[in-house]
Amino acid sequence: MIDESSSLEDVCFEVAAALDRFSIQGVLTGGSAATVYAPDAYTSMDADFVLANSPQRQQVEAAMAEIGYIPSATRGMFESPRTRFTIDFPRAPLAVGGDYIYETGTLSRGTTRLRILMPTDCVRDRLAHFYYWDDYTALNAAVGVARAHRKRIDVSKLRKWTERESGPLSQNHQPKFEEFLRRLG
Amino acid sequence: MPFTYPPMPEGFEPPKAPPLFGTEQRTRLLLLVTVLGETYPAELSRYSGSSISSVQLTLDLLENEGLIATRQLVVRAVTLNPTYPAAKELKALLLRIAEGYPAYNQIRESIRRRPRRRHKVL
Repeated sequence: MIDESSSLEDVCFEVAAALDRFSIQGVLTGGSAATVYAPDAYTSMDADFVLANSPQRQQVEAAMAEIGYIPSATRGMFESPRTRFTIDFPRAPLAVGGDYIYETGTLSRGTTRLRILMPTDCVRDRLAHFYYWDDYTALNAAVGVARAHRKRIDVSKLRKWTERESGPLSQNHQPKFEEFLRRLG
Repeated sequence: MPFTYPPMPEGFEPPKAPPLFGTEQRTRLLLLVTVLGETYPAELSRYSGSSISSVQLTLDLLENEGLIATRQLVVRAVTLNPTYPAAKELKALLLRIAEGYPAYNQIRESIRRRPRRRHKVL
């Protein structure tokens, strides 16, 4: 049951369970995934779920209504009078930068499973926002997730992806990647 | 005194666009956003020949599709979405399409982007 004391992670598990009851598959992404992986490093106020099987909007609304969420004035978003956390469903497919994501992780609480970006992809997702928007809160989130899950982070994958994201039609992101590594220590 | 745009040259017509992204207006705005880099609704309204409200509505649709990104600065700043999975390919496609419609290049080259000291006469 969601109430004022619910954390973002609590809300995410409730959303995952509600979607599951309607056979909708959603993956937690964006800043909310970073908050779940590193709650002390970054606080997101909304949960972003990318839905895999293109459900009807009415189905999604019914699933959200079960946990007290109603459509907000902002198109596609949901809000609840019981909590300050909002829910958003960014357009599929699931991707970070130019890479589509086919493999995701799962966190469990009892019988509820929360599908979520893998830690390395979560770091890539945050780095993309740092690379393209100079968003240092996203950099701090990337560093926070990487520190909290250091053994699961594939630095070589991050480096190769950074090279791919840099290119003739884009900027050179290498200095920003080095900044990330410096802060990671 | 608030900044006002000089009027468009006599005989100016909004650039044509193929209805590749659903409607001519969507494609036109995507092409304008691509050639202008960072832009905003008033500028898009001026060069597309559409009302600001119509431009805002189309921008909402394009943003929901993830094709563009907007940031609320003093005004709504609009760019192609660099984190869209096919961002590079989309930009290359739009630039290629724009080459077929010289009006887009003319618009880009008619805009002064460099800084100008405040109160300095045009």
